[in-house]
Amino acid sequence: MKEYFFWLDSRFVPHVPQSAQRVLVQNYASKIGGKIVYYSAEEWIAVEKQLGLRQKLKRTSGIAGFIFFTLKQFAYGTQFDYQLLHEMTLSGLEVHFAREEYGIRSSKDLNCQFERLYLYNWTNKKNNKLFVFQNQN
Amino acid sequence: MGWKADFSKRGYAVVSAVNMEPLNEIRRILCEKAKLCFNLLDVKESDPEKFLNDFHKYDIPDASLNAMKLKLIEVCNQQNFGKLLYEAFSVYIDALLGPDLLFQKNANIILFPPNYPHYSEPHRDAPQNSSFELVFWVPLNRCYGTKTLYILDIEQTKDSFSLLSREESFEQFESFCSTQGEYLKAEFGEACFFWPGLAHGSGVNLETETRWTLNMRFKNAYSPDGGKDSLQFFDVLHLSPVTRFGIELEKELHLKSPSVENVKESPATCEEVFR
Repeated sequence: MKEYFFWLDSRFVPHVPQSAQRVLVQNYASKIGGKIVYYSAEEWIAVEKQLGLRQKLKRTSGIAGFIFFTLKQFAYGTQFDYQLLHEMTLSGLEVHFAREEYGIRSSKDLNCQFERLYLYNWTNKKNNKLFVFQNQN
Repeated sequence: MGWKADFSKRGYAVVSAVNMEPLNEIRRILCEKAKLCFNLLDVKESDPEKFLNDFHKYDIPDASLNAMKLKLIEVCNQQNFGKLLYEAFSVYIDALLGPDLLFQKNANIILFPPNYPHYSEPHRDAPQNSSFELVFWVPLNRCYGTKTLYILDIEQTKDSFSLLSREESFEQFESFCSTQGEYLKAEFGEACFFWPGLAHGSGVNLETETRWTLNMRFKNAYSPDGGKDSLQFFDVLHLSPVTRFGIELEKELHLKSPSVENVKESPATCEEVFR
C-alpha cells in the first residue's frame, strides 16, 4: 500500500477542524489505494511561502507523495505556486488534494494537467483572495 | 419562437438532439448497468423505453433504491456520459457557452417510481453551483404529466423568491412554484437546458411509469465558479486554439526547470531538488 504524508491546512482549521481534515484526507488516501503515515501542518505565518513544507521536503524520502487538505494551500501567496508543485513532482512525489479530490501523479502528469489547473486557478482567483482576506481579519 | 429566443426570454428551452446515436448509446449503457446494479440480470426486456417505464414492477424495495442508484451512478460515471451528451446537443452548447468548455465529471441519474414519496422541493442550483453554467435535463424515457420536472421562468422565479423572503413560508413558496411552473413534456431524444438560477422541482410521480432522467452541467472554462469546487466537479471538454497557445506559454513561464542540476524523474527523495 502506498504511503503518504498529510499536510493539513492551518488557515482552514477555524472552518474545518484538524480532526475533520484528517478524516477527509484518510478517506481520500484509501480511495487512491494508500494510507497516511505521518501528518503535520505549516507554521501559521509561513503559509504563504510554505517554508515548513519546503524544509520537510528536504528530509523526505521513501514515500509515494503528499496529500494536502486543499489546493488553496498553494495559493496563499501572491500567486499560485506552480513551481513548488513542479519541483515536488520532479522529485518523484505524487501531490494530492483531498477537498478537490484531485491528484497529480508525476511531472508528466502535471504537464498534461496544467491547462485544467491553470483555468481552475484563473476562475478561482477571486475566491482565494476573499478567503485569505477573511482569515486575516 | 426559436430556441435561442426562448432561452433568452425564459432562461430555459426544450430542444431536440442533433445526433441521436450518442443518446442511444447512453440509454443502452444505462439499461445494461441498471440490470447489473439492481440485480435484474434475469430480466429479458430488450426495449429500453419499456424497461425503464416498467422499472417499478421489478419490486426493488424503497429502502435499497437509493444505495443501488448511487452504485449505478458510480458505474455509469466511468462511461463518458458528458462527452456523449455534448455530441448529442453540441449545437446548443457551443452557441451558448463558446469554444472553451468544461463538462461535469459525474452525471446525476434521477429515477422516480410511481408514488415514490421522496421528491425534490423547489430550489435553484445557483449560487451553490456557478451562476454561469448551463444545466441539461435529459429524459431517458418519455416525461409528461407528473412524471417530470417543473420549472419557473426568470420572472416567475423572481416572484417566487420574493414570496419566500417576504412571507418566510416555504409552504407558500412551494405552492407557488408547483402551480405556476411549467411541467415539462419531453420525449427521449429531447432535453431541457436551463440557467441554474431558475427555480425548479418535482412532486410525487402520479403516473403509472417510472421516470428516468439525467442531469449534466456545462460551463465556459473562463466563467466564475460557484460554491462547488470546479476542479472536483468539472473536466475540460475542449479548448479553443487561442486558449491552448496561451496556456502553453503560461506553462513555460510557470514550470521552470529547478535550479538543481541532475534532477531524476523518480528518485523517491527530495533532497536533490530542495536543498
